Amino acid sequence: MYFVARLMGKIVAFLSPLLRRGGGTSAPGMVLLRLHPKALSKLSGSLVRGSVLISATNGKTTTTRFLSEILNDAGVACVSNTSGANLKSGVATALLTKERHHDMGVLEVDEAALPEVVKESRPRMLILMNLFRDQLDRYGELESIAKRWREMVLELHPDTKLLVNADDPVLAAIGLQRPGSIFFGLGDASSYSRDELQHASDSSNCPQCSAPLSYNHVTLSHMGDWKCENCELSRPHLDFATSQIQLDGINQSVFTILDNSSRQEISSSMPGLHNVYNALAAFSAASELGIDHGGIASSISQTVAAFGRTEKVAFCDREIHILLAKNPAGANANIDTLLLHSGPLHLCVLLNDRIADGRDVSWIWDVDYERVLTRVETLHVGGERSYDLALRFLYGGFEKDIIEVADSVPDLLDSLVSSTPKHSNIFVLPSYTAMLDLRDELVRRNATHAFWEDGK
Amino acid sequence: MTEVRICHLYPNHMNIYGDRGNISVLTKRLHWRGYSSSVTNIGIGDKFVPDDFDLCYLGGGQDKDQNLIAVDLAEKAPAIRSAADDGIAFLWVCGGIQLAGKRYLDASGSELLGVGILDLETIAGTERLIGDIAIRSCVDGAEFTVVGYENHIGQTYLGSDSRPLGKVLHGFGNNSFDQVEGAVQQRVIGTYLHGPLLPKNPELADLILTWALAHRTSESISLEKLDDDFAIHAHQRAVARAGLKR
Repeated sequence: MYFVARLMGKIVAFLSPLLRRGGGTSAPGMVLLRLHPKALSKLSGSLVRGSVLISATNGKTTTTRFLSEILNDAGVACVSNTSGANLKSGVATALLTKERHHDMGVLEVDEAALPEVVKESRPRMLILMNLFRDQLDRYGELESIAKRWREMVLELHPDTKLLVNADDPVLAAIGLQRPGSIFFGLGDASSYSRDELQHASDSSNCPQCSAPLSYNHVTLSHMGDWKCENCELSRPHLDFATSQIQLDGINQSVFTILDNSSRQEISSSMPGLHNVYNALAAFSAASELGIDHGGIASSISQTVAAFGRTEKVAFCDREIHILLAKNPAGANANIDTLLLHSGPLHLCVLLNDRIADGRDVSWIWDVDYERVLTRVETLHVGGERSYDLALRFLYGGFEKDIIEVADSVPDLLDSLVSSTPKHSNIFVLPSYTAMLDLRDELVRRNATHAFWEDGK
Repeated sequence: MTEVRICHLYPNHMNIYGDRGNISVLTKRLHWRGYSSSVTNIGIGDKFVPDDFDLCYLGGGQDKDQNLIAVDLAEKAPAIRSAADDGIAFLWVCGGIQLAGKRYLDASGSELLGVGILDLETIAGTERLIGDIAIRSCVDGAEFTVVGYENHIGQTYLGSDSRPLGKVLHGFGNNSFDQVEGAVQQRVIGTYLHGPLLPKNPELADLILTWALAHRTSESISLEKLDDDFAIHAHQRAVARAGLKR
């Protein structure tokens, strides 16, 4: 029966790129799981070196990309869901369509789908990176995901190695439940940290006793070097820590990673503190998998952004930077990043409310767009909820006259070109499906490639 | 210059649905009309003094946070009730409407007492009521449509002293049966609508501001019109998507 199911899945995998249904990133796995619900455990068993699962609210796709590049460069052939299809069906599709020589999996998994995928695939390594408020209509409250992760970790197979971001208090507490957890975090982030928590901080109370946490430094949202004055729980010792972070505008970052015995210089073309976290997670995982640090550094320096994740697209003599922003923490991290840019800011924010974006768009009011108020030269808003964005900026103190509402993606691109000088950098912060719509139009105008061809 | 004094209750715990957007609509619409405003954050352990305020806002929170503030809110309840009786304007959204009522019965059957400024009670349901919502409101003689998003597991039932904020045109409302949404009593409004509520519903925002100004000045003030172009577009788009005619 399994072979029939597998064959059906393969047939769908063969057909779906021809039908242009998102390049068939989920449908084959969906068919397979429908016919054979236990297929995931069988598929996982076909990887001789096992699999690494990566989950987070933000940074899954980029970290997965870093780690699979590192492993492939080191001669470990990896299968990966590079197109970001990260539900159970997407994971199954990646494994189903893997090539014969692939003997390890590096897979990003949706936060809500993670407990089930972990249970069925028994990964060799699990990386937990962050939890922020996101799509409350779909995921429910952050605390309910955290609770499911807590139970998942207690039931992890003893052979699974757990890597946890110690800067996220909720995740650190989950990691501390289990002996042998490996922790990573930003050791010295003083030059880029802030003194106070951002408005959108979620987990700033002690995960053990609920007292307000105090911070030596805050990096993004509720992450940082935290401790509880009441019960004395604090950020665990970092097995992998960054130091000497230098964010060089929107072009690159340079930093050092220290483990217990060595230090490694890293440079990456992916800008911003959030990408330092992503690179650090991939470094820690690769190091634990036995890859030499020099090799890791060289792979990280050559890894380019995944589609829509600080992706640069040249268009009509301008550079469009696409910075996916689907929740307050991610949008705030992107705003930090574009503030590193010294020139005038041409900003464009796009918002849809389809299922993959979250139907509830109230989160835009938790983003600190006001921080770019004095820097913005042109401002476009678009997507199905463009007027919600227009209101957001109007009440955020932006002059009504500078808020340009675009009715369609083609209109938007035309207006971006006509309102900016040649060689401008244009920063687009789109929600997930708005990013896909924008890229579709850019593909139509031959400015870039389709997303399912990404990473190939 | 007349100053409207706004109390934002528990902004650190009850802020899950972009609630600060509602505050910014209130303060900006006052400012654009030449009034000034002050916003005081009142959290756990802070004293709530009714004479200090003209308007009181409470937003929605995670269950965990709602439980954290519950004990403190019970201590503030007498002062909050006297503020409502004095004619202070209240807007309590999401978790707020539940806490404004008489009591909340959770899934295990245990009872959490509310402040009691609205005559209603809430019982935990079995399924969340989630989605876009539009209601037709008639408050103080003004009739208007209100649009937003709802996401709640509590089923709220009104007593005889509260009137609904509106009739449901699209979506769920207070519970799965009554086809009404929210509650109004004195100058207290409770509603499940977020999104946040006020940016797309300027008529409702202005009604609340009129109440707050009436409390401040003891006069009835009619507010001048503002350029609500963006709000009208956003509102109309929401109405159209709900399949309704305005």
